[in-house]
Amino acid sequence: MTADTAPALRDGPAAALLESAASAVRRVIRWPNRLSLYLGGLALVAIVALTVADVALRNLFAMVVPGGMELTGLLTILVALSTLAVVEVERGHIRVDLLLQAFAGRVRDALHAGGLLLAAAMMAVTALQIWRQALYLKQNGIVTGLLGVPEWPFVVAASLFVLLFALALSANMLQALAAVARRRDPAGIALALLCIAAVAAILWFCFDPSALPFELSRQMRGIFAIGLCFVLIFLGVHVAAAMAVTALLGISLLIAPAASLTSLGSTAIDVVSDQTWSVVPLFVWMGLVVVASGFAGELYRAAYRWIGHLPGGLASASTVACAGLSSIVGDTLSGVYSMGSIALPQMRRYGYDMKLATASIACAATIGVMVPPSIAFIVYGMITEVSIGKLFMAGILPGILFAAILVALITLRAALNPALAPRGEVSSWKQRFTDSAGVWPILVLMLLVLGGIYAGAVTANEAGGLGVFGALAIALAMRRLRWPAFRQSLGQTLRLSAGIIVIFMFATAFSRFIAISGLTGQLAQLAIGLDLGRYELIGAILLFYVVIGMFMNALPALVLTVPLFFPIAMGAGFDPVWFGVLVVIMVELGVVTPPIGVNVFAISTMAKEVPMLDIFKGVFPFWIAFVVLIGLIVAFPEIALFLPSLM
Amino acid sequence: EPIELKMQFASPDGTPWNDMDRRFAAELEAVTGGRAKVTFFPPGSVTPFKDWLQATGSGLLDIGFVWHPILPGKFLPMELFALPGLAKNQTIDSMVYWRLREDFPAMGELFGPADNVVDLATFVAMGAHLHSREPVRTLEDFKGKVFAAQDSAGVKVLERLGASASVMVGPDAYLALQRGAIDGVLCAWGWVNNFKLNEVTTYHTLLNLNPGSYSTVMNRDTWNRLTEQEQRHIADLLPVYFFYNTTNSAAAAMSKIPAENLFALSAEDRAALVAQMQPLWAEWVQKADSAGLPGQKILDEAQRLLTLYDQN
Ligand code: NA
Ligand code: NA
Repeated sequence: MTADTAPALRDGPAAALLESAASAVRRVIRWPNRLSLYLGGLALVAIVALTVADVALRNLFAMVVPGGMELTGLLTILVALSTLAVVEVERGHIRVDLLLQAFAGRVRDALHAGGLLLAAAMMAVTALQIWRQALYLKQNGIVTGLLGVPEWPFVVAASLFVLLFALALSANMLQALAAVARRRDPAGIALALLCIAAVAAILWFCFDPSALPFELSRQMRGIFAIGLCFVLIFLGVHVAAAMAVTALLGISLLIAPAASLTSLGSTAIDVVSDQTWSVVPLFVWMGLVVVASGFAGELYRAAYRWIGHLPGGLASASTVACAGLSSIVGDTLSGVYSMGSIALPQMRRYGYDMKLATASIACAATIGVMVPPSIAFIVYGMITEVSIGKLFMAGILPGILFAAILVALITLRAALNPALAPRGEVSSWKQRFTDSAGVWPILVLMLLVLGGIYAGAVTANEAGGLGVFGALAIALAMRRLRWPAFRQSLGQTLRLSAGIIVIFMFATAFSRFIAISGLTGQLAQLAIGLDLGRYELIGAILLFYVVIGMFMNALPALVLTVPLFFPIAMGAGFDPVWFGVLVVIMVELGVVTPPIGVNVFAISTMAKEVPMLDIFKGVFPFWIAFVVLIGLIVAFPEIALFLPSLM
Repeated sequence: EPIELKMQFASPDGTPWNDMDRRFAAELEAVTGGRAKVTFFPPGSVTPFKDWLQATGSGLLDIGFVWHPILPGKFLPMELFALPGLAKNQTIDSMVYWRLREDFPAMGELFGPADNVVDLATFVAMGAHLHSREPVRTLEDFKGKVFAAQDSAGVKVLERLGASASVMVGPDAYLALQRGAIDGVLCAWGWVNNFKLNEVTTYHTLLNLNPGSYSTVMNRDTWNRLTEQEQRHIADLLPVYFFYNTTNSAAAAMSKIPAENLFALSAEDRAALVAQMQPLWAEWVQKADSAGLPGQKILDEAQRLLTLYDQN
């Protein structure tokens, strides 16, 4: 039943009461939600306008919009968080319900209610801490450097958005409790009460870690918190909330509640006020405009004419396109979102298996980090004093090789199992050319965006803004985009961005907890302490990264682990550039490794009907591609070292 | 009772700053006779620069490195030293700051009770120089170019010189230079080291503009757990600690640069630059006045001392 219909008569009084409470909360947040959506939309349009103005002024008159980046950072807060509650009302936030599906209905309902309660409580705590952060900024008179704009009003807005999110979670929680009550099953009700007690206990320990009934060594505290995180995620708690509670509880246990609470608030705001994040909504929006105006359909019709008869042809083409796009943009998520929004509906139309379709895009985007420009190589270079220029050269061949391996794997799988990718008829040359006539707008757009980056005219963020502007301009000029479709693309962009940025918000808090726990150091000691030979050592280090990849994102993993392994690897006589390529590939593997794999999360928000479990299952065969790539680079170091040797 | 001092590196292994942090940690352990043990965390892993003060006050870390320009508006006294054209060099600037604190105690009131930290030592840092892809020898050469700067003070200077500029963090500046999106970056040598900007720039114009400043702080509760003698010892140690940093970074960066790629402005250009920056100086005086500090008196005294120390 939906929120707005009256509770059915057969409901008991408890269920009816809970249902009407849920409806009441939803009514309270309806208008604030709509207002937030408008605010977020205005902020995103403003970012596009600022970016286009900045690029135009700089390239035509060598001028920059004063404080453009500061303003973009502040506006990113609104773009990133304004639709958190909307997404929750639509039940669009990322959850991994692997285990939940295996339970009986009454268990599932109870766990679901408990998970929502925990998420609602965590978001309420986060909203409060962000509010405190706003007070800190106001009381200390902190402004932006160039324009002197006070930051605190934007942070207040962030706090309200997160509070709305907490309210939306509460409404869903009340509804889940109503479902429990409706069953009139004593065991189910007892389990729900148990879940509520467990949530209360977890929160209690966050604020009073000394109340923990058992003694834990420092190492065990870290492992305990991560274990809790995995359990919560597998039980279907919102991924963002599971990481938030882990970070809060973990730092409380290791240091003190004052430290963990401050860290939660400041980290949340740091992440969403970082203007580099604007690249995600911008590329999402570009992709959605291309789809909404029908250009994506035409592109795939043309591609189908050319390669639709080959095994897995469209998946291979999407893989190459995604690899190319994320390589040049230098950002994995932009590739997933722009290619995901363009390619997934089309592959579905041509009857492709969605496990194959989603996984090939999630994996192909990782190539963006191997081929320059790549922030991962810059971070490695900074930590190790290895030339970044050489690292950039070293990543090119492995990136191309990986794309080739992925295509080979897709072709092989599609050939062995044609149901994965139904093959079309071979088209005549006339058909091919006729159907290719409509693809020029998208080619012009890509030339503008990617050529702009390559020529040095624009940064990746600016290219995203230019891409949106270009896509809108072409679509409007060709009368392919109407007002409702425009609004819809904007709203969808905000929803997708909020879904992933909230994960990063708390993943950052989580990685700070991991840093404090010293857990990576202990795991590394485990790998190093075995006194292994050269190749066993590399094997152990690679295995270590597989484990780390389960719960850490690429950049924090690099920062925490390279200082530990680099001296050991150098001691064993490995080439520093070669080792860098291996490590960067391994941390990128983490973005598609369960349970916390951001690329998989991102693609799943665009393929709502494909369960998370299926996408992870779909990625599994692609692990072979990673193994082949790593094996080849270990066996033939020249793959990484040949190009740098020419410098 | 043993004390764990949680400390985060400001920059990666192998950089002069990292060496300095290690030496400081070793001294702290020695001062306490091994009672205090320093635990290090990699740069940026526990807190970014922006939140380092809050992280230290809340006990997330015990020792903090507070880079003042990252919290614009909070450290008005230190913005004095960022005025373009005022600074001489890092050593003289810092000595002048300490003298000013004696005459104008408000200059030393950087942290409030809510910050919950003890100011161990506050210094003026290295000034910024221009690192570029094409030579920039004169003020005229700045005009019409697009630069990045390490902070907003740098952006204001570059804009007054007829260039356009935006604030960029190190990795972004590297990428922008590599792609040719910007002509150069105005930053201190420490940045050149940390972010390997010498890989993507060829020419270096020595300007020593708008240095930032920083405080090394300790969580107040942690500080209170030290004995009085230990506290005194640390206070005595800090001027020495500072001098590790003065020239190492610059020397490390400049050692690999051919002399013909290093430029300095002519005396006329230098004077013209200072003249062009006067409105920024006046702006600081005004802000200081409205905050209840005798702005002009402080500025005059700073200039007198800077000139005095520079001549001797
Ligand atoms: Na790239
Ligand atoms: Na992962």
